[in-house]
Amino acid sequence: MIDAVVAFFILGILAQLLGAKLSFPDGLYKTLSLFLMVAIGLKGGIALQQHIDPALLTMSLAVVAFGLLLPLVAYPLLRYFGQLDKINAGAIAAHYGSVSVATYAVAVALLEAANIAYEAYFPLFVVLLEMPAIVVGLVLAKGNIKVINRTFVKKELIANQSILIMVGSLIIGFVGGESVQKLTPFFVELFSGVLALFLLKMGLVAGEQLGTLKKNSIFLISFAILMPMLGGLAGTGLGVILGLSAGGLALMAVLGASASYIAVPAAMKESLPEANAGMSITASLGITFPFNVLLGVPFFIALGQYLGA
Amino acid sequence: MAFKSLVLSLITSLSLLAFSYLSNLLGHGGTGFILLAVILFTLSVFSVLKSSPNKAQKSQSTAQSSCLAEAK
Repeated sequence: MIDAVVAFFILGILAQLLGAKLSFPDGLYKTLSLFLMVAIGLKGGIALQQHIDPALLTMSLAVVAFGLLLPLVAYPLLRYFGQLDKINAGAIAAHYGSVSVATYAVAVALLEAANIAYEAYFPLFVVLLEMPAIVVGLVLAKGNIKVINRTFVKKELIANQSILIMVGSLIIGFVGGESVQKLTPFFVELFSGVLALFLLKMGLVAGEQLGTLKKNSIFLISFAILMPMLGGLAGTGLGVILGLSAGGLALMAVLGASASYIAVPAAMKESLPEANAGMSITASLGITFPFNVLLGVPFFIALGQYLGA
Repeated sequence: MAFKSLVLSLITSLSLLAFSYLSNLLGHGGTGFILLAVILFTLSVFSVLKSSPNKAQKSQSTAQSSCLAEAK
């Protein structure tokens, strides 16, 4: 049985493939993205305040290490099988080492619908996993660690919109105390509805990306399906080592399986303008995102329940 | 390049079948993975077969052009 929220994603793809002219204002899409990032951060901060874990620092370091290693799995596949140059291989590897907030949001919605509990500090992990892959991808592309300078750190890591919004919301949720409760009717109660609308737009975009796949894109399709499977299993393994709950295992797998198409493309556009952005977006949004939403996330939730039992 | 793409698509298809098997063991159903594996592998084989006659035609016309150039 397909979840109602995920069904909107399928609706979006079908609408695009059927040529239906669904008008979706650009401003609305950006507002929905902002809403999701604030809601995820806020919910995480509130839950973290209630259930803080002393082992969080160790776990956070392990998660950052995971984020540094994932692009190193993607890069040789892209170079050897795809015969891509260093620039494009590094850029795509950065996408797959980072995370998709939307995929994470879908996983959270499915876990909550099935009443499967997960650790409160996961939004912190989402934020931590945004950054390392950008650094590794850039170093792989340029072949030189000196590209990581102060300007890069300030612009792409600290002032990055996604990271700033999510970290800020997490902190507000954590320190806000009782005053945060007045925000929950908006950011918590409306989360599923907003996610459904967001996925409708994502379906339209994914359908459009599928249409731009050229005939010789078999490598890209194969990579964009294989990488989430590898990343998801690696995430599951990390979750088992960290002793996470069933829901936590599922979310860690999803973070490993997902690929960024908001934060990393923006960072790559600035730092690697010579990279082919279309290839990265087609892979991460046109293939990996639908694969994860339709097959990957439900599978990893089932796997998490089995291992966490 | 085509051969390497075919190899990767074969690896991906086998991984999808493995996921399908795991999914069935978990009681979740693996039809989606099987379907995707079959579609992916079929597309890759067609892609490779389609690019092979094109390469043969190109090498044939190159050989003909060099023969004509020698005759002149």
